[in-house]
Amino acid sequence: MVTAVSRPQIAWVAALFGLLPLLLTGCGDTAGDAVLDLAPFQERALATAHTTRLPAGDPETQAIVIAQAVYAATREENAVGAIILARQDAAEAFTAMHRITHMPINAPLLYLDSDGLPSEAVLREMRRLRPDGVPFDGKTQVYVVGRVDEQVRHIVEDQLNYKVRVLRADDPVALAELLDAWQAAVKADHPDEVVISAIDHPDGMAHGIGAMGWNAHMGRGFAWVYRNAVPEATRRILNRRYGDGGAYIYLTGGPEVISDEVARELSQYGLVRRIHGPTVFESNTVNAGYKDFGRDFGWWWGWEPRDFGWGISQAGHNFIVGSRDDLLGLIPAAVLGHMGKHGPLLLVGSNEVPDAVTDYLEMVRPFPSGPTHSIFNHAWIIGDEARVAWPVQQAIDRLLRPSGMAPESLQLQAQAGGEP
Amino acid sequence: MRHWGPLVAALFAAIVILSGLAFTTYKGVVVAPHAHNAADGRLHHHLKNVTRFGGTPEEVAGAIARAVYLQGADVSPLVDWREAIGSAVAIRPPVRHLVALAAEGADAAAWALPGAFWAVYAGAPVVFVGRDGPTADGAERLRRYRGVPIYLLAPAERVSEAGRSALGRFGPVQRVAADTLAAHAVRIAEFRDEGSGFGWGRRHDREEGYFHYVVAAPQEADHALAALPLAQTNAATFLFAGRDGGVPAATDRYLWGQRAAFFTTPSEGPFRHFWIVGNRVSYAAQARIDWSVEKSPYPTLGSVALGPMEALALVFIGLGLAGGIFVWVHAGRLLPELMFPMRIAWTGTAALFPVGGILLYFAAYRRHASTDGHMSHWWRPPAVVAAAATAMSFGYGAPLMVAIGYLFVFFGFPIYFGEWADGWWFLFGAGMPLMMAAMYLGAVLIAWPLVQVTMKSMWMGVPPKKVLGSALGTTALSMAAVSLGMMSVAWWMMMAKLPMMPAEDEVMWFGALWLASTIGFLVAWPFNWVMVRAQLKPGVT
Repeated sequence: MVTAVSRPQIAWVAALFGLLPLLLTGCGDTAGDAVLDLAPFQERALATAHTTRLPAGDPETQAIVIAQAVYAATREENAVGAIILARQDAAEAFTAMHRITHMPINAPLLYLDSDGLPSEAVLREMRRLRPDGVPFDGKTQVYVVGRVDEQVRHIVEDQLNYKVRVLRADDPVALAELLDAWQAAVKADHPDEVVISAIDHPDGMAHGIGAMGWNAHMGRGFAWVYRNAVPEATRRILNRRYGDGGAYIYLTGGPEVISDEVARELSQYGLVRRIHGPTVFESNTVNAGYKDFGRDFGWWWGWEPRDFGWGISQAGHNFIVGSRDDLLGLIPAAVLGHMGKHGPLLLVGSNEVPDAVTDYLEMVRPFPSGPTHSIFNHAWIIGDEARVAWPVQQAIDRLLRPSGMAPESLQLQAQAGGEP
Repeated sequence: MRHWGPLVAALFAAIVILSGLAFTTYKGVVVAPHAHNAADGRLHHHLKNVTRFGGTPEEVAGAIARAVYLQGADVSPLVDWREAIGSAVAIRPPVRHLVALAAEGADAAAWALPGAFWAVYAGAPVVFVGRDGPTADGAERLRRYRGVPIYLLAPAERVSEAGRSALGRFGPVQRVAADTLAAHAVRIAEFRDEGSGFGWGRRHDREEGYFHYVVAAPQEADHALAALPLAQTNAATFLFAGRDGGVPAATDRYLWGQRAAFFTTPSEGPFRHFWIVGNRVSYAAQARIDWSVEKSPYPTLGSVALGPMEALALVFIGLGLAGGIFVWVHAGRLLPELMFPMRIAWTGTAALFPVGGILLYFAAYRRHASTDGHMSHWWRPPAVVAAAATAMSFGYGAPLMVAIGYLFVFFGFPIYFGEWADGWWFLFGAGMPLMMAAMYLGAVLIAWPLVQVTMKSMWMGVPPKKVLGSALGTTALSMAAVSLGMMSVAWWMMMAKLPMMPAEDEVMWFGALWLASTIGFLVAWPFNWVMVRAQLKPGVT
């Protein structure tokens, strides 16, 4: 027997349908106060048609400025998953950006001060960033990485009430192994593609910073070697690769950075390739255009190809441009390749655009097209004008403009406003 | 009361899953809950997809001049907005169309902005029009370009039909306009006439364009006029923020349609970029504009936005929930002889096995039934007996596994690693395998005492204590059969098919597990046939 619908049932249905519009309309809006205050760095954050400068005069502030560009933090989805805290040690920061930044972690790097502690500015930025916690790692909100004093954990936990994981290792080589094991637990996988840089070569990181940007973008493996030797930790990392050919190894730098002997030795663990040019500038333009694809592993009816490198050789991309003399400030900028417009890192001189960068950007220069499918490039300029001079930014902008859009020709057009 | 056990198990799963779905819905519609202090301590105002220029109109004009011409410039205060537009447009022959803008009325400068940006980009002559016809200068220009198509970019309240007719004496006229400023700008951003070359044509289906936009509040039209050169260098279209500094609904709808999907990596392009000029646009609005175009994977289009696979998943989940409600109501009203634990089991089955669950429910119960005094038995063919036996464990097991998995992600996976984690051992400390193990074990340990012991004792007519051991074995086997399909598909979806592993507040987390559950039922079905044959499960109740 079917009974009549009762009044309480009607009330429940009415309440349900009443809640829905409330839910859809009652969740806040975007109206708010005008942005009247002049942020202290805004005037120095010079923007041109196709470049935007993120200015700072020291690595600690630089990292904050970069994090503020990437993470608006008005809601969980545009805030961070976690925050990386590291000393102002290039090798440690470089290793951390290689392995931690990418999804599912989603973490910018902030630096500790010269005493190895978080400054007031860093704590304020950490508060603003509101890390949501990484669901795939026990909701960890802060990764304290490298040879960091235990006091840092206490400060973060006590002052910010964030959940901290300390990833401490005695040296960057061991740190790479620790991060590899940690990432394997997070992702239930060891990525078979492994970037390898030389830790004992003065330009080892400069040659490899572009490939580091790829890892911050795509989350592949990383390990260190010495110019003429392979550390045991790196051998263990490579032994944990299970691709059909073992590991797929990408050396950042030529034989003068990582010797041929090391390359031969590494080949026992898998296929070895080099991403390099004769200078650090060329190594990074090569990296921007580099693409390696092919076999990784196959099984019965499934197969997984390897797909490594930006492979950018045409217009329609973003670049992160910084000085080769400011690697510490540039390392956190890899997070700009992880969100927003993404794109590879390129090195320039403080006062000059190297030929390699000019040639590369000429190759990927856009051309005018219709309004429904217009194509543009963009670049972030990292550092204040002492690190990357304004003329360098101007030159980069000119190289990014579609052909026929040089500022001189625009001025002529503007002056001729009105009837032809 | 022998029903409390199944009820507790079902309520636990239902509360977790439904609150998870409600939370996901909330996350999809909430706008900017942390905006009140998200700008604290900011050192600059740019975001990854937004460049911001504030200050006076002259200061904005100076910043734009430096951006466009790469050198500083002293910019004089704007005298008249019509002159500003006129001097910004460098007409480029051949002239294929004219842009007609309203010259009068409140907010006339604001209404003219979307058209002015197009005119600067296209090098199209601008004609100013009064309410009932062109101005004197406008008429002169119209005569010069007689016969050229005219696009009237003003609604009828600003330029009347008489005014439109007056323009018609000089050439074919088409009005492209909307009733509000925000909708007007969006209309012009989306409109395209390939014949005359007029219009940006930047609709949601223009997937590959690298579009720039200038955004300003209506009361800051002077700031926006200063940004006109960006229409030339960056092909920038104009959009309106609200007078209150927020993002109007029309603009918001348009922006989310502009979110680009990536197929290989997010570096593949395209990207969209905004130039916010003036001071009135709030930080919350700027952040929403920035986030609305964040490049995202094709299947989901990221959090908040709705991707194509997510849309399918929502339909799938919706069908499941509707099916569950239907079975619960139908069984309660029309099948009073159905045991309460089986009513819950079929409700869970219909919910987690959309459509198929209902079909099997009807196949199981639209049949002759007999009673042995304490429970009813339905006469079914072997395949349906196996399906009913599968439903008996799946109806509890699948929701429990989804609920336990949800709690794992919500509170965070535990992970373990160290020197011991060499070789394949690392998988024993990895989050995903641990979650799957917990889903299985948790479902067994909850369903066994609360559900399966109760049901088995009812079926066999013996006290629960006597079936504790056999019920554990049956539960473990049944859940293993469900898990075989469910875990495989969940792993494949989350670790291989989806470009990024979804979190618990994303539709595809539920979508993946809903699909996995469905496959779990299908895989478990033949195993249950074996268990029925072995007299481990009844399948006739």
